[in-house]
Amino acid sequence: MKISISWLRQFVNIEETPEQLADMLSMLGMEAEIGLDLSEIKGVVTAKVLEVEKHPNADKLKLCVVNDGERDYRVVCGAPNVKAGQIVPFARVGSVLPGNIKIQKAKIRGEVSFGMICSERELGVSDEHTGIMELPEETGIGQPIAEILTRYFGSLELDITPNRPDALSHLGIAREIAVKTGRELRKPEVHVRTATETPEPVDVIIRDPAGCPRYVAGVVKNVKVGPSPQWMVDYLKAAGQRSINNIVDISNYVLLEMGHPTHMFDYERFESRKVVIRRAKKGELFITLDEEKHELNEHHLLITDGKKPVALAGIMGGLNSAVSDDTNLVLIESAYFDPLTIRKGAKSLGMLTEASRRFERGADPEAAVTAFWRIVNLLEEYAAGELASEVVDAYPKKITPPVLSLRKSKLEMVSGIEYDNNFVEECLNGLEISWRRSESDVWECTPPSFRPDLEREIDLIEEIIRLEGYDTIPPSRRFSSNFPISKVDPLDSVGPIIDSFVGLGFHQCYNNSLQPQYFAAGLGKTPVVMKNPLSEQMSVLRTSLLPGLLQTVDFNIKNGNKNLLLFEVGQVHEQETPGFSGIKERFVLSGVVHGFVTEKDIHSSQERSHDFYSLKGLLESALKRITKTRPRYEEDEHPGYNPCNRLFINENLVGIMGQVRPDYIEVLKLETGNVFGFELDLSVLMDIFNEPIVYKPISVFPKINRDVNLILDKTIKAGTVAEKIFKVNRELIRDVRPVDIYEHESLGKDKKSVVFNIVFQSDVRTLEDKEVNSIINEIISVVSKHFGAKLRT
Amino acid sequence: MSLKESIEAVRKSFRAALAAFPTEPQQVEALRVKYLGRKGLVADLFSKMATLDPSEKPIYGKLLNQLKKELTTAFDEKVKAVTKKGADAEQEQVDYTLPGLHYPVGSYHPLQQTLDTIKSIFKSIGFSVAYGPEVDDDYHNFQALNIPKHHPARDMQDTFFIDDNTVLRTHTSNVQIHLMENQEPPLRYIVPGRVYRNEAISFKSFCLFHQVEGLYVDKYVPFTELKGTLEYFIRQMFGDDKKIRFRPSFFPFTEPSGEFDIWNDERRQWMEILGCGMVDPAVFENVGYDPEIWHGYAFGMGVERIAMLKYNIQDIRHFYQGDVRFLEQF
Repeated sequence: MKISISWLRQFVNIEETPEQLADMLSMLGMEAEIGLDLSEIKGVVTAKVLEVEKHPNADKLKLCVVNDGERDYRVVCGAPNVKAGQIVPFARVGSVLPGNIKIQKAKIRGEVSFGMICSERELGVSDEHTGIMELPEETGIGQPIAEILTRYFGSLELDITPNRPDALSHLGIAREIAVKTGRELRKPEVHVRTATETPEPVDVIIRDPAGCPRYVAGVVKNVKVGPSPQWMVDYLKAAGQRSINNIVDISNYVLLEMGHPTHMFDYERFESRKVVIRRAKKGELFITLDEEKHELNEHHLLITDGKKPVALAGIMGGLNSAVSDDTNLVLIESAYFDPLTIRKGAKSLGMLTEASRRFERGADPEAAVTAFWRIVNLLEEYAAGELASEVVDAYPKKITPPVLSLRKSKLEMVSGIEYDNNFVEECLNGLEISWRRSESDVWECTPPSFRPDLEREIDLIEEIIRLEGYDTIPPSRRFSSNFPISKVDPLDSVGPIIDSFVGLGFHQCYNNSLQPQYFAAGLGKTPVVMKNPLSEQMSVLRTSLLPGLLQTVDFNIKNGNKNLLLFEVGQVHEQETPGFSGIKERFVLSGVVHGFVTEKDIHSSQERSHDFYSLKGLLESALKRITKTRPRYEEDEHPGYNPCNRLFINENLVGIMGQVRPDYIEVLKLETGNVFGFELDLSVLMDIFNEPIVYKPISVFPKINRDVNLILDKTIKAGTVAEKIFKVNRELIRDVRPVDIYEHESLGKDKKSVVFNIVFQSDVRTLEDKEVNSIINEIISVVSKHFGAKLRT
Repeated sequence: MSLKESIEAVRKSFRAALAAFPTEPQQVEALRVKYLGRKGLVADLFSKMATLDPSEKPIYGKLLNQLKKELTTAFDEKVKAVTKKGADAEQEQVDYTLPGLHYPVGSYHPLQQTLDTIKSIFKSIGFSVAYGPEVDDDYHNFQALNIPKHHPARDMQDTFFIDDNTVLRTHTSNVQIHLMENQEPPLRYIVPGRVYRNEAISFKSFCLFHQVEGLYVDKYVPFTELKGTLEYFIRQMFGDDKKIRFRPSFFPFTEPSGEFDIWNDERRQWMEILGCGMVDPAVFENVGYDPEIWHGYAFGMGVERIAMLKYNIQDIRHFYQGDVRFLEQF
C-alpha cells in the first residue's frame, strides 16, 4: 500500500526523513520502501512560463519562453495545457529524467528547443501524461524539482501483512508511529448532523445478519458533482489514486484515511426507498461498476433496492446505481461485512478490490459510524451536500471484543526478557487496548474494535515484543542440547554417494519436477497429475529423473557442449493407485553420458564415444566406491532403455542402466543422439553404504595369473562364463576377466574364442602350480559341461 | 721422489684431469682406470708401501687411504654432475608445454553446496536433520499450521492442487506437523526439501524452490534464543561484515513472527532471507502438545535466495537449466 507522507502529518508529527520513516515502519512489522524515488532526476528546476506562441510549422506544438530565475529559454512544447504565467517543472539541456533520459538541445519541426517542460509521468510521479505538470502559483522559481515534488508527493510503499487490516490506512500507520515515538495521535474530527425538515425515507432490511452484521445508511441531497479540491487530489495522487470527481474521491479519501470502505449510490436510481441485504440466487446476473458481468451464486452477498441488486456487498458497486455527473441524491453505505463471506465471494469471482481487501481481513465494526459521518462532513464541505434522512444503523447483534488475560510470567517466558510494568502499560495504551492490572501482574485487556487480530494472550505478547523492537532485544546463544539424538541425519550417506559421481567427472543438475504428461506416459508410468497446472508442459510430477536429464543434454548440445556427464539426485512420484494414499515417493539418483570419452588430440589419434561399456565402467567405479563391490547384471526390458541391465549388489536390486531408447528421445521431441543412462535407488544404496565395514587381512602370498582360452558358441556371453568360473573355487579364485575375444571361421561355424585371465591367491600359503593346474582342469570340465566350451590349444 | 712427493704428484695430476673432464663415456672410464683402477696410479702407490720402513707404514697407509677416498669421491661427484647435465639437455628436446591428457571434471550443484553449508552450521549447534513428503494433504500443509480454508493467509502462497484435499507442499513446514505428531518433545530439527508455488516463472520466481525449515521445542525456548541462533547462522553463512536486520512479520503458524533481511549494496535494498517465529500455541494444540508447558521456535529459509546472494546470481532459472557453462563454475 502506498502512503503519502504529507497526509500522515495530518495525524502525527513526523521529524524523520523518508528513509528513517521507512526503517521505523519496517521495524514495526510494516515493511516499507521509499515510494517516490526522485534520486534519478538531475538538473530539473521550477520555472515560469513567460510567453506561449503557436509553432509556425505544426498545429499541435507551441513555442514557449520560460525563465528559471537566471535566464530565458526557448522551448517547444506539445502540451495542450501550457499557458503563460504557469509555474512548471523545467528540464534544462543537460538534465536527466527517470529512466536515464538525457535532455539535449533538439530541433523540432525547424525550431530549436532548449529543454523540456515535464509532465508528471516524465518525472515519475504518476501516470498523468495528458499535459504538463502545473505547480502552485506561490512556488518559487529556480528550485530543484525533487524538493517540491517530495513536499507534495513524498510517499512510502508498505507491505502490510494479512493480519493487520487496521494498518491499511493513513490513520493506522500514524497510530503505529505515535505509539513507537510517544507522540500524540490526532484523529480526524467528525460532526454528527440531523436531517432537514422533510427527511428522505430509508429502510434497511438485513436478510443475512451473519454476512452483514452492521449496515449504516443515510441520504445526502443537493450534491454537486465536480472536481475535488487540489489538496485532496494531491493526497490521493501521492497515495497512488487518480482523482475522478469529488463524490468518488471523498469515498476513496475516507477509505485511505481511516481504512473503512464505504459506497455511494445514486439514490434516485433505486426503485424503492429500501436497502435489502441478501444472498444472491444461483445463476443471478449482475454488472459491476467496471462493466463486468458476473454470474453469482449463494456464496455472494448482494445489496439490493428491494427490486434489483445494486452492489456486490463489500466488493464493488453496480453500474445500474453508480454516481454520475448529474447525480443529486446520494445514499451513503457504511457497513461491516463478515470477512469470510466477502473473501469467498471475491475469490470465486477472481476479484480483489480496495474494499474487499479490507473487509476480508476484518474491518472495524465501530468505524462504520465514524466513516459515515466523515463522508457526510466532506460532502457538505466539498460537494454542497446536506444530510437528508434519518441515519439508519442496522446492527442486530453487537460485536464485542474479547477480554484477554496477559500474564507477565508468560510474557517473560516467551520473550526471554524481564519487563517493566510501565512499559507494558504504555504499549497497551498506545494501541488503544483498555486494561486493568490484577495484583499478580495479570492484565485483563480489551482490544479496540479495529484490531480483530488480537484474540489471544500470545497476540498481546507479540505486540509488546514488537513495540519493544526486534533490534533491541538481546540475542541469546544457548546452543546446548540436553536430549539424546538417535540419528543426526538419515540421509548423510547421500554426500559420499554424490562425491563418487562428481569425482568421476559428473556435473550435478537440479531439474524441474513438473513435466508434461507424455514424458511419464512414454515410460509406461502413471504420474501424479495437478488439478491447476501452470501449463500443459508442467502438468504432472516427474516419475523418473531421466527425461529431465535428457532435456538438459539437449539444451547443452544446442549450446555447444558435446561431452556430457550429468546426474541428479531427487524425488520421483507415481500414482500407483488412485487417491492420496496411492501416491508413492521415491528417492533416486540418475545419470546420463553423451559424447566422447576421449577425443583425438595431440597425444592420441584414437577417439572413443561414450557407449554401454564406458557407462558400465563409470558405474562400476562409482558403485565400487559406494558398496565396495562389483554389481551383478541381469538383462531386462524397459520402455526407456535398450539394451537394459538390472544391477544387483549383494542380491539387492539397486538400479538399471543401458542405452536410452532413440524412440523415447523422439517421444520427448529432443535431438540428442546416443545417450546412455542409469537410475539408482538411493534408499537401497544408502543401506548398503551404511553397512559396517569389516577389515579383511591382506594376503601376503603371491598371486598367480593364468590365461585360459576357450572356444564357445557365439551366443554364449562371456560374463556368464566368467561368473561360472568364479564359482568353481570361491576360496582361491580372486578375479576372472575376459581379456580377448577372437572370431574366425577356422574356429568352427558360429564359434568364438575368449581368453579369460584368472587370478589365484591363497590367504594362508604360497600356491603351487600343481594346485592351480587342478583348479584349471576343474574349470575346463565345468565350462565344457555347462557351455560346451573347448580349450583352444 | 719420496713417496710423499709421489702422492702429491698424483693428487695434482688428478685435479688437472678432473678440470678437463671428458664427455665420452669411454674416456671417463679410461680416466677412472688410470687413477683408481686395479692397476691405476693409486694402486701403484699402495704397492710401494712394501718398500718402506715398518715404522713409516702406518703414516703412509693413512695418507694413501685419504688420497683414495678423496679421489673416489671427487670422481663420483664429477660423473654425477656431468650425467645430470646430459639428461637435462636431452629433456629439453621434449615439449612440456603440450596439454596434459584430458580427464572430465565434475561439479556439485550450487544449491547442493549451499544446502550442505546450511546443514553443517545447524548440525554444529545441535540440530538433527529430518525429511518429509513433497505431496501432502491440506491438513498438514495448511490447517494444522493454523491456516484454515478461506483464510487470507492462503494468498501468501499460490498452491498446486492434486485434488481438493491434496497439495504439492508450499513449504517445508508440513514436516513440523509430521515430526510433532510422531514424537514427544523436546525436539530440534532442520528439514530441507523441495517446495512448490503456482507462480509465473521469471528471473526471480520459479514454480519450485528449496527450503530449509527449522523447529526447536523444549520447555524454555525464548524469543531471545531464536534471535541469537539465527543471527549466529547468518553470521556463519555470510560473514560478520554483512548488515542485517530482524523485523516483525506475520506467519499464521508462528507468533510473534519475524524476518531477517540482509542489505544488498548493489541493489541498495534489503533482501529477505528467512522467516521465523515462536511456534503458535494453536499449532501445539493441533499436535497435542500443551502450550502451557512447551515453547519453541520455527524458521524457514529459501536455499535459492541464499545461493543467489552468496554467488551473486541474478536469475533463479539458472539453477534448473543444467547449463554446463553455469554448473562448472561451482
